[in-house]
Amino acid sequence: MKNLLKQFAALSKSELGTPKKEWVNEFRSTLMMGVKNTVAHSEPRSFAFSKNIFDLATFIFPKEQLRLATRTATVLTLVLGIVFSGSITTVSAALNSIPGDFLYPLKLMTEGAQVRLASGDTEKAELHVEFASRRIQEVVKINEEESLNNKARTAVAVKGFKQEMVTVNQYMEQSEPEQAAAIAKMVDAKSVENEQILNTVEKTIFDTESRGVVTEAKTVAENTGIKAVEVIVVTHTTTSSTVTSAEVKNTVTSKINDIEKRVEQLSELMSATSTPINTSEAKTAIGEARALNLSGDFSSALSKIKESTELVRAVAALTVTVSLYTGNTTTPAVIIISNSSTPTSAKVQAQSLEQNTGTLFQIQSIGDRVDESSTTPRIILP
Amino acid sequence: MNKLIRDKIWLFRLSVKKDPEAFGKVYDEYVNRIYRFIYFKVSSSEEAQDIASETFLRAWQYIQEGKPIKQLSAFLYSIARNLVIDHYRRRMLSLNAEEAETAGLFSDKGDLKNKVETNRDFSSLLIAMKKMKEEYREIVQLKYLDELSVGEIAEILGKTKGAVRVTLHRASKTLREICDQGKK
Repeated sequence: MKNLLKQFAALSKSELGTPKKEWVNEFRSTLMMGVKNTVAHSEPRSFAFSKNIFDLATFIFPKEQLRLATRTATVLTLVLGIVFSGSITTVSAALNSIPGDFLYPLKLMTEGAQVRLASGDTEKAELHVEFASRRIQEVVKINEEESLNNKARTAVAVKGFKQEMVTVNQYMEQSEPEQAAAIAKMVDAKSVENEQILNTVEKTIFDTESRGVVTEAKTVAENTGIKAVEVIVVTHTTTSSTVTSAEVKNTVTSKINDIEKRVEQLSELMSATSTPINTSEAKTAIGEARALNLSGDFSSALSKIKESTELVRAVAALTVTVSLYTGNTTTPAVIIISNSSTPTSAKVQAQSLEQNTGTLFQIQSIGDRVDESSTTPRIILP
Repeated sequence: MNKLIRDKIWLFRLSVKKDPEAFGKVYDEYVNRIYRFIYFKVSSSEEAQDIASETFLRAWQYIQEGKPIKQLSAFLYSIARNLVIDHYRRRMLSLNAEEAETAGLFSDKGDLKNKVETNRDFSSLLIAMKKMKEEYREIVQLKYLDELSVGEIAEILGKTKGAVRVTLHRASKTLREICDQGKK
């Protein structure tokens, strides 16, 4: 593919498909005369300076980014003020960059500077939690693009995520109980969101190695989430004024609900593919965790949460992951099957799926030429 | 400057401030790429010039009407693409089937042979692209030659990002296979 990309680059720089300069310039003159005429006849609009800047900002930054951008943007502007002109465009470009982009190292340097400027462990940990989320958003962005470097870029983003999680874990372990609990609550709130995003991304990655890397990140997110619950439980045990019983109960209940949801999803998957996998042990552990939580024995409930998480992971590793992909409205559903075992096993599962759903699928491998006019739904094997 | 930000600033200047100079900059940035995109689909440079001119005129008209534009590049490529489709439809009506087929660099009667002989640096690429179906050829061009993002390509082709990613994956694989076969 590298050779092909070189040829594309050579084609891009060549004369082939390049318009004649005379035509380009001549048409530009004609076009601009027409454009200026149109504008001259329309009413001029005037804005107050601050409204103008606000309009510009909302044009450039999507709303959800504006909030996140504020703190980093301040630091970036200070940094860039020395090197560049501190322009809003370079700031935003750095904020939006992903591994492999020219400004990405600047983004990371700025995050480092933010941590150094932060006062107190809680604020530093909050930043690391935020940066961990950014690494995950980078994974999402990378995998929205079909590019040669996706594998390497995904690996860089996930490595960054894992490092942030290690740091966050250290803060939870080494801070004073009150601070540790505050950090743990932040982590707990974010961990489910991170897991869900990684789950979604995992299903859309074709490359096995990259998918494995994202699965690892999911496990790290999960473990950090459980660690956060552990810190909350332990802090309650030692100083119940910092974390109340009600807070612990709610946190543990949420975690149990998350695991239960995963088991339900796996069960649905199994019934669609008739995979003979047993989730009863995991369900039992979940039931026990719930009962212990209700009775106020939070430490034992936590042990059961850990046990059920391990059981669910073991089941998930054996199960075929079926992700449903739908193209545009004129294309029938296409199911992409991926698993960690042999292609033969994947084909057997595909045939099971046909039998269980009573639907005739066209079974093929990724990359096979396809008759796009066909209305038969397809299953694509790894 | 980040391309997306630059385009957004131009869009702001065009739609809010009605700044003609901004449209001049848009033209300077995109004219070569839009021309090339059209050129590979039509028979001649004259036709490519006509359609490219029409593209920018339509774009300005659209902006004047105050209609929202999500992505500038996708907007321009979409107009160009639709104009090429209209162009073919008109040809089908006015010419016989054989004459109407004479369209595009990669068609059977296109001038590819001459281009391959005079451009060794990318000859195998051109030959491979000729062998691909139009849908695949278009998508690899948009991705690797025009360097558009999946999101932009999705908007141009009227498909979801997921559909574009799958088609691009298949198209890239097909291109690699054809090139590898050509080397044997």
